[in-house]
Amino acid sequence: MEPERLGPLLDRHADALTLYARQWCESAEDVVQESFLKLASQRHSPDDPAAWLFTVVRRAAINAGVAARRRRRHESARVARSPAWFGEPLQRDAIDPEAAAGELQGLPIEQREVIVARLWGGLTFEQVAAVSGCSISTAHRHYQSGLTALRERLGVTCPSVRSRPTPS
Amino acid sequence: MSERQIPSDPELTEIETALGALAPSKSRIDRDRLMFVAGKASSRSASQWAWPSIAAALMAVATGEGVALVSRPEPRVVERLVIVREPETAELAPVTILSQEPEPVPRPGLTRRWFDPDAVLKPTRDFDPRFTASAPPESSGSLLRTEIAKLLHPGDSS
Repeated sequence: MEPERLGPLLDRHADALTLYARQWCESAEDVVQESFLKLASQRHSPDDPAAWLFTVVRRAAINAGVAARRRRRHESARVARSPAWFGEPLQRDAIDPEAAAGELQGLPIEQREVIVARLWGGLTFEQVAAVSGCSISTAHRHYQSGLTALRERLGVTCPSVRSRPTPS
Repeated sequence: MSERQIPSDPELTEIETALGALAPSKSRIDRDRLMFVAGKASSRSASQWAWPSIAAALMAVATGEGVALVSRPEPRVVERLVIVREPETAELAPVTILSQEPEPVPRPGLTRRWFDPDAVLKPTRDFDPRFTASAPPESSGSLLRTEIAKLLHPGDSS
């Protein structure tokens, strides 16, 4: 693939792909970077580069997570704390990012990956189903059940607003 | 089931909107470095198979030639009886070769003489006793004396 086409894809999907890769591993940036390099070395660019990237990132992240867990068994302590999943919210009354990340981590991986790919990756349900290797109805069911669980835990009617010092 | 056939749940719209307001934290990927490495990777992928393909093709040709050379059967000698028919020709008549000696052309100033070997060799026979089978061989000293006496006294017959 030409670098001219890679740049917009990087700008559009890098953050969401990193968040998506964090569902399985901690070395999300490495996984995403390797996936972009793999896309650049493709002789024929895929029909749907976004779905192709999510698929490759998913596979690489799962492998990296398995390797990391195997490696961690031999290590006594974690070297570094994993970075935050979400940045600073743009709206003041938005959901607390850390709480959202915490509740998201508590979801089953099947629901989590569909929510991340759909909400922050911007994929359609067809693309999500193709990436996850399931049917569209299954992807939609995971999405709905995951969002329902998050709504109950986070309390959207009374969202846990992050406490900030109000400017005087 | 396509995207349009999936009904949107109004109860989930709120949580969907609230979660969508969160932005994933910025990735720590070095964009410039990644673009540089990706450019290198894309250029390498275009040409990385050119020379290996040529080398593989040449190796396949060389291997095939070698196998063909080794497994080639020995040259076979084929013996075949070939009958060649001569073209029929008319029977030739016997050829008589006539020869005629040319007349000798006399050279001016020369006369023809018959060579008589007896006349030439006779004085030698008379002189050289070796031609006479009955005469005993003389020694070289006596022969010399006889010759000298003949020279000094040509009229004497010894």
